[in-house]
Amino acid sequence: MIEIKNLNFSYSKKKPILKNLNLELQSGNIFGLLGKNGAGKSTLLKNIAGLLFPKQGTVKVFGYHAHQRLPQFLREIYVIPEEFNLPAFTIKQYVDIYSVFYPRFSKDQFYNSLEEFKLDPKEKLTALSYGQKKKVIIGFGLASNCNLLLMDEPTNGLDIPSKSQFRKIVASSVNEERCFIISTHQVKDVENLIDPIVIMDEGEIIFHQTFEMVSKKLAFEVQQELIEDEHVVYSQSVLGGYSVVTENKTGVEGSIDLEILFNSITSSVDKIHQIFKNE
Amino acid sequence: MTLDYYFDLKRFGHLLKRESFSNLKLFVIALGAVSGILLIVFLISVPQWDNSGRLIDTRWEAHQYFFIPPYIIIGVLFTSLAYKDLLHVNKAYVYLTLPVSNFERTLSMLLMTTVVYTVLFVIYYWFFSVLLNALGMIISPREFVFFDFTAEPVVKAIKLYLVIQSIFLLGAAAFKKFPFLFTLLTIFLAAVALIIITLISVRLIFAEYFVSSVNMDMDDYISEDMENFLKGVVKSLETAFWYGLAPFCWVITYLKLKEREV
Repeated sequence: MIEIKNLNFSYSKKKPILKNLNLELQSGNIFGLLGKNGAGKSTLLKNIAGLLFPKQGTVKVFGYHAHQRLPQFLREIYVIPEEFNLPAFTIKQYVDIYSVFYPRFSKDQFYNSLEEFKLDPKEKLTALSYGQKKKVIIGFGLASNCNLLLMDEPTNGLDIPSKSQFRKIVASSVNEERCFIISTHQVKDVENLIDPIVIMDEGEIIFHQTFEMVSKKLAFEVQQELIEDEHVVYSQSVLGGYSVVTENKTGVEGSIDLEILFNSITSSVDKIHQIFKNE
Repeated sequence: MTLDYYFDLKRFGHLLKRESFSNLKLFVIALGAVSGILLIVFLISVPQWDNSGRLIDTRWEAHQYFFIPPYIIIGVLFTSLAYKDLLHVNKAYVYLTLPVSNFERTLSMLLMTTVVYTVLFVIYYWFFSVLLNALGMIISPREFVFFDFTAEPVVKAIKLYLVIQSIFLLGAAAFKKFPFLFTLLTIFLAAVALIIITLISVRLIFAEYFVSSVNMDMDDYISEDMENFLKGVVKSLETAFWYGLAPFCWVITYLKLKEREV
């Protein structure tokens, strides 16, 4: 579905943003694209959407080269950026004008999302708060029924109840045909929603695994005292002790703390790679 | 690749609807401002007095000249903002990921800034001129002639606008900030460069005709062949301006949009 080969991208010659990046993503998943600020997540999303062009390498989505921005490709993708400006239309006008470009757009689905988010279609977009506007475009993106939905920091600006509504709506909208990519550094917001996890650091993909594989290979526990062990991959001090990531030797799949996983991968990437290499 | 990769009538219709909605407010504001300015100019220029202090009653038939400046100025300003969504990164992503082709993006704004704009402006001015005439008859004894959009100066102005707007449409697609000002600056710099190149070329090619460093005396020497050649050059340049420049700019506009990133 998404096939990225040897992608190199930079805004200036001196500072490469994406370095020889290879990635394949299949439909039917909600991918979590995680990374620190400046890791290259948004740049990668823009390359996938055809908003930026690779300096080297190829980005193919549904068989189309993204940079060509052919209408047949564009009607299958919808981008929810972190920052946006919406026109001075009412929500209803906005939907009437823009929905026609997406062949599988469901107005019922959109108005249901609005109801979930407690928004009135008669309201003017310019009169809404940032969080409310975000809800409108999230609802629009989901109702577009595009096969690829790219979300850049979708939970930024959403209040606490809206974050759980967001998770609920997103989880209920994915199907075998669709692929969602959620790029965020707020890992707690998308916990229990994303699978697989793709982690970027300094313009490279350093981790790409399913939750199932992570729980098979790694164990997460809280220890009152830190025990030095060769199987300890990562530890960090938390309230009441230490949160520790170890190689899972028992074979019993436990729960995953996404934030700790992220920290362990970004700080001990070589150890993690070694563990995942072992059969 | 099939034709609908580039053009689909239904999709194009949706895009035109979107562009009309997006630009309607801007157009109405521009017409409001123009109406105010024209009204003031009209009120100042219509009542005229003769030496004896009596209002003169000659025919007033200046609508065609009233029409031209706002038509061209508003037109090029409107054209400069044709791709206003691309000026702001937070709007550009919507515009560039809208499921339409780059050809449709170009053609829609080309139509909006030429045919649609001209037709709307002519209709607007016709109705506005009727109002001005009615007002004129109240404030002066003059006879007011209706605006005739088929009058020669009007037709010439429309022709000229179609050429000029193509440069501003290209500027709208090419410049990332202040497209109107940067297009004006580019036109100015291009004109200066063209003048310098022409002067240097003439100085080199016709060196033998120069009587001083800058003065030429060609009357006695210029051959009939040379005169015909020069006339041919001027004619070719005229043809290139009237029929070549606009299509050239439209094609470059398409290419600029195609390679536009956020």
